[in-house]
This record gives sequence, C-alpha cells and structure tokens, in this order.
Amino acid sequence: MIDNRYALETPEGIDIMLTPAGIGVRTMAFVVDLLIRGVVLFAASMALQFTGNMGQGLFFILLFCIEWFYPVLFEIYRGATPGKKYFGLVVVYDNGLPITLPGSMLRNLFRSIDILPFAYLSGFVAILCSKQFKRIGDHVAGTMVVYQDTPSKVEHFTVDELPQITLSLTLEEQQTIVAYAERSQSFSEERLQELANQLEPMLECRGEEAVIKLKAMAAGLVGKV
Amino acid sequence: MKIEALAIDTHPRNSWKSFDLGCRMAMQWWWPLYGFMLCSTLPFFLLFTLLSPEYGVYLLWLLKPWFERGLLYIHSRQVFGQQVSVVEALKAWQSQIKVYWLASITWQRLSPSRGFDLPVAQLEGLRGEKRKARLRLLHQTTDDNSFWWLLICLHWELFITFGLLMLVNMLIPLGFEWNIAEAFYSESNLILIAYNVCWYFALVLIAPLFIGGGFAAYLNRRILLEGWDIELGLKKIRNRWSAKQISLLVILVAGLMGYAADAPVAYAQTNELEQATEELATDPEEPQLSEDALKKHTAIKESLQEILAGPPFHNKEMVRDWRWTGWKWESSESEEPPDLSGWMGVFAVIAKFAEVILWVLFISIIGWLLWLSRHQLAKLLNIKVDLKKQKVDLPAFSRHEKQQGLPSDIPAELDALLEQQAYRQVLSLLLVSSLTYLYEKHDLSLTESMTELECLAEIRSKVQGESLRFMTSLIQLWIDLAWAHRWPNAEKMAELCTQWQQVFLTVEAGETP
Repeated sequence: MIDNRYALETPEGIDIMLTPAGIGVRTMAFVVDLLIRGVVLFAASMALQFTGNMGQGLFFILLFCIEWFYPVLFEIYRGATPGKKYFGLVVVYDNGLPITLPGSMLRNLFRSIDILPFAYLSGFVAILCSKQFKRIGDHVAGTMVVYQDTPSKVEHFTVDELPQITLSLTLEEQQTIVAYAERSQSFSEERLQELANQLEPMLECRGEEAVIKLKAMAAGLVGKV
Repeated sequence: MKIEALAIDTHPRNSWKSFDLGCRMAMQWWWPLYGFMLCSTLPFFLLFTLLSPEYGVYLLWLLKPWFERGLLYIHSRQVFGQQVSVVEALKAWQSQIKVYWLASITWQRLSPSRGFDLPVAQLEGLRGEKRKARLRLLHQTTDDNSFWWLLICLHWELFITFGLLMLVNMLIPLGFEWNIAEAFYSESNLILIAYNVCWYFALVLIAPLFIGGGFAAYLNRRILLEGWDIELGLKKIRNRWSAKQISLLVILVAGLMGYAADAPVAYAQTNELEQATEELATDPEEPQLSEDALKKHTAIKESLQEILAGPPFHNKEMVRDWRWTGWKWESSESEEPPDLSGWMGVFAVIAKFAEVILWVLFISIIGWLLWLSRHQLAKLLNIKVDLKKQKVDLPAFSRHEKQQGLPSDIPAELDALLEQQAYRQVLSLLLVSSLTYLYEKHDLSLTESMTELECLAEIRSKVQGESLRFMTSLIQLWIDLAWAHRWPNAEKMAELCTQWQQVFLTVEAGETP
C-alpha cells in the first residue's frame, strides 16, 4: 500500500500519522521565502545606498545574516518559515517533536550541500529517494517537514431523530461512518444513496432512508444527539 | 474498476499531498516508468538531434504528451495492482495515443492543467462536450493546483538541466580551460549537444513525476467526489457483519475469551505498577528499597514488556548493527533439489566450485594488492627495507651490451675484453659496475630514462674527488664512442681500466680489510 503518510508509533501504542511534505509544496514554500528575503534585501539596499561604503558593508552583513539565520530564527520561534507557514507546513524532529536550535542550525547549514551543484539538485534527488521526503540537511539533523493539518469540522449535518440501530463498531468503522456524514455535502445524492446501500442488510432499508439512518448513526457517534 | 485492488491509500488529501503521493508512486514503480521513458524517447531524441542539434529538442518537447500517454498507462495499471512490464507498456503505447493525438501536441499542448486532464481523455475515454463537462466538475474546487504543479515541474526540468551542466563543469580538471558561461553563448555544436543531453536527462527524470502527480491529483479528486475510502470502509463493515451472522456463536465465544481478556489484565497491571511506584516514592529518605517492592517492580516490568509485545502494539524493531544470523544455505537444502541433468549438470559442477574459485581469486587479488603496496606498507609499519638489495635502476645507455649481471671477477673480464678490443663492452662494463657501486655508496637517484649528461650531473651533485674525475672521463669517452663513433686507442682504454681499479677496488679493499 503506497501512502505518503508516515506512522509514528508512540509508547502508548498509538499511531500518529505524519504527512511529510514533498517536492511540490516545498518548492512553492521556498519561492515564497525567497520573495520575502528579496523584498527585505531590496528595501535595505534602497535605504543604505545613501550611506556610501559603510552602507555597502552593512548591506553585506545584513545579506549574510538573512541568508543564514532567516530560516533558523523562524523555525525555532514559529516552527516554520513564513513560506512554509503559508502552505501549512511545519519542521519537526523525526520523533514528531518541535524543532530546536541545534536541529535547525544543522539542517539549514547543510543547505550549502543541498544546493550543489546548482539550484538544489542534490536536495531534489535526496528528497525523491527518501520516503519521508528528506533532503540531505534533514537526514543530517534528523528532521523532516510535515503538513500541519487543521482538524476537520463536524458541523455539516443535523439530524432530527435518534438512530434506531445498535451495532458494535470498531474505531475504524466508526470513523468511516462519521466521515460519510462529514463529507456528505461533497457527494451527489445518487452517490450518497449508493454508498448507504452498501449497508443495506444491517440498516434494513435502502435509498434515502438509508442515508438518513446512516447520518443519524454518525450523529450518535460524535455525540450530537 | 475494482477499488479493492487499489495499491494506494485512499484517504482524502489536499492537492499538494496528492502530488507528493504521485512522486511516491513514480518512485515505487520506477522500473517500468523510467524503462518505458528511456526506450520510447531515446530513438526520437537521437534522431531529432542528428537532424538538427539546434532545433531538434524543441520537436521532442512538442511531442512529449505522446510519451506521457505511456507513462499514464503504466501508472493507471499499477495503481490497480496490475504489474506492467516495459515491453507491455511499449506494445500498449500506440493504442493509448489515438485519443486526441493531434490536439495533445497542438492546441492542448500549452494547457495549464495538462497532467490533471489527461486521465479524463485517456482513461475515461470521454470526448467533446462530455469531456469538458467532466473537467469542469473535477476543477470545481478551491484546491486546484494542477497549474502550479506543471510550473514546478517545468522549472525543475530547467534547473536540473543547468544543474547537470554545472556538475560537468565542476568535474572538469583545473588545468582544462573551459568557461561554462562563455561556452553557453558561443555557437559551438559541442556545447549544444551537451545542453541537449542534459535537458534530455532532466526530461526523462521529471516526466514520470509530473504524470504521477497529475494522476494522483485526479484520483484524489475522484476520492473526494465519490468517497472511495468510505465505500471501502462500508464494504468492510458489511463483510464483517455478514461473517458475524454466519458464525455469531463462535465469534461471541472467541470474543469473550480473546478480546475481553487483554484490556482488564493490562489495566490491573498498570494499577499494580502505580502502587509499586507509590511505594517507592513514599520513603525518599530510605534509598534502600525493600526487597519485596523491588521484586514486585521487576515482575511488573517483565509483564509490561509482555504486554508491549502483544497484539495491539506493532513491535517494530530497528536493528542498526551487523550480526550473525547463521548459515543460511543449511536451511535452503531442505527444499526440493532442482533438476540437474544434461547441460545444467555442468553448470551445477561449476557452481559447486564457484565459491572456492571466487575465494581463491579474492585472496590472490588481496595478496597482489599487498605485494604492490609493500613499500607503502613498510613505511607505514616503520620497517626499514634494505633498498640496496633492490635492483639498480640503471640508465639505459649504460646497458649497451646485454649483460647477465656483473661478472664475479671484473678485472679479469676487463683484461679479456681489452685483448679482444671489444671497447664498447669494456666501457659498458665499466659504466655498469661503477654506477652500481656509486649508487650503493652515495645513494644516487638514477632512472632508466637518464641521458649520459643527466647522469653525470647527478653524480656531480653527490660525488666528489677521484671518483668524479674518473666518471667524467669515462662518460666523455663513452659519448665519443657511442655517438661520435670515435674509436679510443688502446693505451687510453688500458689507462681507464687501471684507473678504475685504483678508484673503486682500492677503496673497497681499504674499506673491508
């Protein structure tokens, strides 16, 4: 089974599903960060151009600081650079804990390796070859970039009556039924009925009635009724 | 379409995640994908480059959607668990291009969502208005990033092209003057071809990723619209339920015994653990634990380990060191012996000894390498090798006559040669013997390629006095004879021989009385 998620098992035996971020979204995040840095540096050069040689020196110091510490500072204080934040990404250690100074320093220092020979070619290859989409800096620092998922809302459906059916369902099965109700708005009416008809022998009804019954079960499961 | 057979996890994703999934798919099935891509594009690339190194690649670029059809074919079959080989894909390729064969390389070529739209035409087989309606539905979302995915892939293709060129540039030795920036703007054909080859590799690398990403986004869109994951989940519920109906009693009994047994035990033991830790924590002043509590503690720890090894936990174990796992082939012998008759028998005999042969070969290669690096090893181990025992690397000119080593009695040999008037041999013998002697005494650095004067210069830098004077006249005489064909007279030769005896033999005698 191919999946881009990565199951992190906690000592309690619970799987935390982390979704490492791959080439596409990280390229986009990088471009956003590049633009932000570009704007800051452009503004600085505009402001400093009237101060002669000293201004030039200051500009290069600023350039150095921004190039090396922009990602580090944002990662340790905010979890990710603004570009990554914009795409809902966050940098974590392999065990899912938030990144700290040593890890962030290491993974960003190794950008100078990833960038070789031109435009992150080695980083690209490393990301492709890694199941957790790690570039070389990530491998060295033991970090990865993952999606930070926002919890889904359970407000899409309302029911009037209590479900009249009692079934013993495993956790996974309960999740399936709740997902059915949550995502029912994105399905066509025919598809909703078709899906509900799968459970015909248990619900003892078909079509519209089965849809309502299944939604009512979901409402009962999330404690809405 | 059997969604039970899907080889990907069907949970709903956002578009970026589905592109990532597409990359994972492409990497998982890299062999058929890249095999097909190379087999199908390489002939065209070679042909177009031959036709026109300058514009051929643009033609290949234009035709790229045709090759992508084959990639999508492989992706779509593999995703439903059907293994596709490169040959099968090549055979099926032609039939995959038929739909919109012209449109795909003309007005649809610059479509911003090419990768995402392709499955609708190629896999669903929709055309005209129907296709448009379907695409409208699929694109009806705020999370449609197929254009960005195309842009990203396009840019990576360019970056990889330049990256490969830079890599070549970095690997060029320092002495070799070649500036990539200058060469890029020059009109040389070589750089054009290098650029084409790099671009071709980037194209081959990116295309399966691009199509995989687009296809995964398409699948994801359908998962969101049709709830494939929910369908699978509901089917599972029904299967379990109907299985339960058939053997309700069995499951009831088993469930009561198996299912219910785990949880209370674990709960009870964690309670006990809490008690024990409380006991440990209550008397901090007394570091000595009561024996009873200690026993209880270890017992609980052991049972906890047992529980952790049980079913709800995955028990993945990561081993990072090398360890001996036993002789593997001992167990494999129990399997049915293969048919070893006729020709196979010969191979079997060879195979039997192959291991011995390979080991012998391996050991002899190691031995040979050690022998080659014996000087370095000696230096490393600080062992002084007696360099004088080695063969002297005499300059080639001195060995004018082929000699089997120095004769034991050199003066007698010299006298004999003088009588025969074999002056060349006399001079050669004198040169060899005196050079050997000087080499041993003064540690001259002689090489085979030295000329006479180089040799003399080397001697002059290390040797003084009588020996130097003798060598100067000897070599001068040799040059006259060998190069100018000036035959020396007998007195001169005799004088040289006595001189030689004075210089070398007396010193030797004086040294070793």
